[in-house]
Amino acid sequence: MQNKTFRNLFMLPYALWIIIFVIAPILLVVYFSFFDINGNFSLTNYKNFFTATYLQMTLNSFWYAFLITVISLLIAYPTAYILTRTKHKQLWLLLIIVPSWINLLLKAYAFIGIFGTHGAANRFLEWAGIGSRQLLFTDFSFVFVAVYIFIPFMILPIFNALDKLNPSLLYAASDLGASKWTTFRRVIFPLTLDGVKSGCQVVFIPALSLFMLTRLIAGNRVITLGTAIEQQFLVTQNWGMGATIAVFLIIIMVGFMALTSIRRRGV
Amino acid sequence: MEKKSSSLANLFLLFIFFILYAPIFYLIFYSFNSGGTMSHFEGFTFDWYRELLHDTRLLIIVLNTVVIALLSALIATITGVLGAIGIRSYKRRQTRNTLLSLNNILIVSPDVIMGASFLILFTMAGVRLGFYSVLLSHVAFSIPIVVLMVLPKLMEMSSSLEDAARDLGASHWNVLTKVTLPYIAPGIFAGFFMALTYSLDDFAVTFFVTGNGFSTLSVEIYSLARRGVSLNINALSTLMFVITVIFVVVYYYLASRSGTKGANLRR
Amino acid sequence: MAKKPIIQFNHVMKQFDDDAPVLDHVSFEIEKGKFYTLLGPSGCGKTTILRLIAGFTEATSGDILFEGKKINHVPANKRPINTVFQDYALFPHLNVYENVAFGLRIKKVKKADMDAKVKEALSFVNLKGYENREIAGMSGGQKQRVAIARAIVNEPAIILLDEPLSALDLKLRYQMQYELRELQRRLGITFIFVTHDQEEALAMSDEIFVLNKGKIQQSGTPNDIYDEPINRFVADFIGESNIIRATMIKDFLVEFAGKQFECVDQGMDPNEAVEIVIRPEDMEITSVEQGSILVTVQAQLFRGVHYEITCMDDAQNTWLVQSTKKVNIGEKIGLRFTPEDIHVMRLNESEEDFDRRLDAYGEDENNAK
Repeated sequence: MQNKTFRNLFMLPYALWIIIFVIAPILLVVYFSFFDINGNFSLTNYKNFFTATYLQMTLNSFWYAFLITVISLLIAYPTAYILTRTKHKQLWLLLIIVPSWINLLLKAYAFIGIFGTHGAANRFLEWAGIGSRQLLFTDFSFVFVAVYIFIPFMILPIFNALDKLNPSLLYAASDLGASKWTTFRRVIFPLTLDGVKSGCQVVFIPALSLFMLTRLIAGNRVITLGTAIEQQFLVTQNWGMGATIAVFLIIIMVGFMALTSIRRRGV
Repeated sequence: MEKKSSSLANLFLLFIFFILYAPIFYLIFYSFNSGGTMSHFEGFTFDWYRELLHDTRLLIIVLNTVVIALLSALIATITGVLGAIGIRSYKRRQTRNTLLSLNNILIVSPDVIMGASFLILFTMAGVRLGFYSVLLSHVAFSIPIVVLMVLPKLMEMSSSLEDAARDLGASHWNVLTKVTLPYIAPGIFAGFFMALTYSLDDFAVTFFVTGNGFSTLSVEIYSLARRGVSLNINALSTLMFVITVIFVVVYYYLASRSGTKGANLRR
Repeated sequence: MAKKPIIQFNHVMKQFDDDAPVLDHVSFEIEKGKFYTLLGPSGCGKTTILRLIAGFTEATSGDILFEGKKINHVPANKRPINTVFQDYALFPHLNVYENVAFGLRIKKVKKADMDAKVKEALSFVNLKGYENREIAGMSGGQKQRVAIARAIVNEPAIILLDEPLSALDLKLRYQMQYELRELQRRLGITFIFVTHDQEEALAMSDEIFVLNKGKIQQSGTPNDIYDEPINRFVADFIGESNIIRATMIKDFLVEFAGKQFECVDQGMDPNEAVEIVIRPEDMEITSVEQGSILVTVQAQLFRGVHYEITCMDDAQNTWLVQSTKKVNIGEKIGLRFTPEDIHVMRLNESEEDFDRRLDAYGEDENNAK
């Protein structure tokens, strides 16, 4: 009995947090999505969302997020794999992580300089004989910078999965006659799939909702769901429409989480 | 054969490290440029640093950022630790899993959604946008991180340890302060640290819930960067990079001393 | 009972949710100053009894008495009882001294007294001079000793030991068995020891409770339990045994393996179906002519001190025999045993009835003399 009062006392602030900052905000977003710009209850926002403009934007946002995730994965997997094979791998891993600790804005800002008309990237292109071109404010630069930012987050879970892999499994595979490629395809990759999945989760969902990069790097050429929400809330002041897009973003997010869900052992 | 592939791998790794660090050093390099652009290095100067140190507005913003980070991390750590202890005390698996799912909602939800929904929440609740709204938001998104850092430590603690303390005459309060808290101290420490970095790093949520009179570093950099290149941002990022590196070194020193693996710092 | 029991269980029940009860109306008494062992397979409820005595869990129904007073709702920290845990449960953030001093600090014992007591407790467990060691750097055996020191330093009325030796290797385990027994004698504190290892129980205890499925099957001294197991479970769990279905023709005459044998048991109904136990070490291998029964050797393992031989008689009963003599597989041999080697068990006899019956023929024997 005494135990329970003790526990309830502990849980009070935490429970308040769950109610006020987890449950209430979701309900409020859903609630606001049913009000048009004049504050009338209606389904206008949902009707609007299913018009070509918004669907096109959603599709675009998806496409970019997909692209960013796939490219990150293609770079991160081999990197993580090589990292697990190095001596002092924890140190190297730390060096991979350090850049992710630098403020996001500063990294984006660095690319404004690098991709600028006279920036390092263009000078390299000139030197290579390709000639300078407009880099900043293109979808290329957007994808590039996004991949740059997300790569450490993709490497980390894959590294952990690879690191946990029991080396005798690999010996067993080669003992049973598997080639290196077969071992990778049939043993290593399936066993690190959970790491890949959580890597995709931490990249895909934020990539859908990035808005700062689209403004700074893509110069509004790319509009993601995140940009649209920010636009509706802070520029147009149409909270209802913003909330509606947010509802769809949440639905997509939940769907994606379910799709890449990992069977976790209960805690 | 073996050697060739490993040198190729090293080359790849080197390339990744180059890509990851080049932008950061690019920023740092031009912070000493007397030319005023991020493309032509004219001469060495400390001007931008001098300017930075005389910019009282910016210094106040730095102070705000630090105060918000420390305060929010502190409050989040206390709430999160109590919450984690509470979660563990529920023996039913279903209750625990429900609580954990609720806990993780804010971790997986995109910044934009969090920002937008908190904006609605504060507006509805009549909280004026500014210091308190930013502080509350930061506390809100840090709590689940603390819980996730503390809970594994708690779960790893054999329940016989608490039984032993009770057996030796300890009251509930004694058990908490003499056994549980010291045992999970590395987790608490890591949680606090993570909360600190999330707060320092946050841009999107703050951007939504900050009012006109209040700004944090990330928001400030964003508005400066939108106006284009200005080298005192470079100087600022150099300082922040140095501080980050010191932070990481200290953290790793402390973490390795307390015997916890510090590799999984983020996410 | 002459002495007042220190712990008494009256029809104690323990049940989690709607599962089958972990303890099913368990009653027993524990006397002061003895070494008790709760013995049984995992899941038999032995650890639950320990947790109930320690106060980590509460009984669903029934009374638990300490020195005659009901303590069902007294929390663990208010009971003069200390536990040595299976995983030792030493506090990893404290050194040896602080671990041992934990209980004393809570009681706010003066520094000088505390020093003396910790020192004494550590010397009791042969860990003099280990005060400043960190727990992480200690071996299993040393951790074990610290855990014991941490319990005895509080001078409890009872020490509970939850399979404390299970994590140690065989040699260390034997050594600790001697040390624990010796420690209990010197301190005179009641020890309640939980184990699933029957050898450990036989070696150390004054009194053993054999448990199965939440019920006490049999209690008694190690000798009683080994020589006169009450039922198939106890006979099988304690030591190796040959358990054979038999018929009690009349007092002192039992039939099994197609033959009638003299025995020393009585008090059953005529022609009652029973089971008999003969310990493998009680049988002697002889020639076919000299044997009490005739068997064929089926398998043989060398166990170091003896051979373990599996045989089968003509009635398809399997017999396990221990012998220093080697035999050949397929060989026909005789097995000889005396009436005293045969122990007859009634099916489903309660402990009370069993004791009554045994007492009854104790009297007969006395009369005969």
